[in-house]
Amino acid sequence: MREKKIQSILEKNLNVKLNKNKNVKLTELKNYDSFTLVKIIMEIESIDKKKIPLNKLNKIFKIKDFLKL
Amino acid sequence: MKKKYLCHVDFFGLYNIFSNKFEKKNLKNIFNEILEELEIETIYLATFNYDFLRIGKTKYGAKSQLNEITRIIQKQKSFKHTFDPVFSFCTNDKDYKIKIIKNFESFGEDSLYNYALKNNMEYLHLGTNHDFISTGIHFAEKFFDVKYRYKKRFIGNYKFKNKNNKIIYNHTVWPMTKKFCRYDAKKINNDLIKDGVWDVLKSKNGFYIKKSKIKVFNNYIKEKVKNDPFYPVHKKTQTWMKKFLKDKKRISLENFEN
Repeated sequence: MREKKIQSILEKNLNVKLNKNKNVKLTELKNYDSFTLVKIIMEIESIDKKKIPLNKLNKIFKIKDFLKL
Repeated sequence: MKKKYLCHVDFFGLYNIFSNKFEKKNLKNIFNEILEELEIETIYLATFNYDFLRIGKTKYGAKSQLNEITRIIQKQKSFKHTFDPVFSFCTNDKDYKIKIIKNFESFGEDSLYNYALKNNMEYLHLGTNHDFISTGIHFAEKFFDVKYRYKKRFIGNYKFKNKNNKIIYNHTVWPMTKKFCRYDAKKINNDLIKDGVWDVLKSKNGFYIKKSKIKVFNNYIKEKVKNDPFYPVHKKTQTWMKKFLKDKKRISLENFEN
């Protein structure tokens, strides 16, 4: 359930279909920057209103890394 | 009088440093709150757009190709844009007056960087990490003989108030090659922090709020280059360039472009 919600947050903010692009590096995406990253994090946090620890966030390099949050 | 700053922003860095502020939804308000906490009023925020170099045209207030927060801030009514076909900033500085320069040298006499130096402004990095090198390095390069980049002339149109202005834009670029061309941002930032050129106001998880006096920054890089002409350049770049430059004084356009 949570993974599905994260998936839809990612598709909305990154403008990509996830089924084909899970392994894509974030820096390779046209619509990606530090502001988008923070927007995605805040939307994921609002799913259960819990802060995600910073040490987890600093390990996000590919789209699929978000799905583990 | 309050200081004025030339700023670069990394929003994820700000999220790390000011994580307690990131509870509200409106990220623009959070950004303004952070500026307020840091007692920063007058900023010049980098809103660079590289279309002029690629397609030979641009306009006043061109959409920033940096990050979304810069695009949000540049749309605010209280912000105007500085003249530069590529390295333009948006600013809330009421004193700044735009002037179109037909023969313009990036980071030269008529650039915002020189204006900032004369007006005692400072560089301010909001949330950037060690891998980020600001265009301040290009301004510093105006004060020594640069061996690793070459001068290139770009001609194009700059639209201002519905009028196209033909601009000759003189800029120093990396050689046109597939070989690795990069600054050693990590080394430069580490040295600048270690020697107190970057004044670190806050830091967390490798992200920084740091500022520097422009003159001190320039002099520091100039001194480093006196001892090692390739000081700013990454080791991988140095390796091929030094070999290439065996019998030459510096990298030049003729060697890479027709």
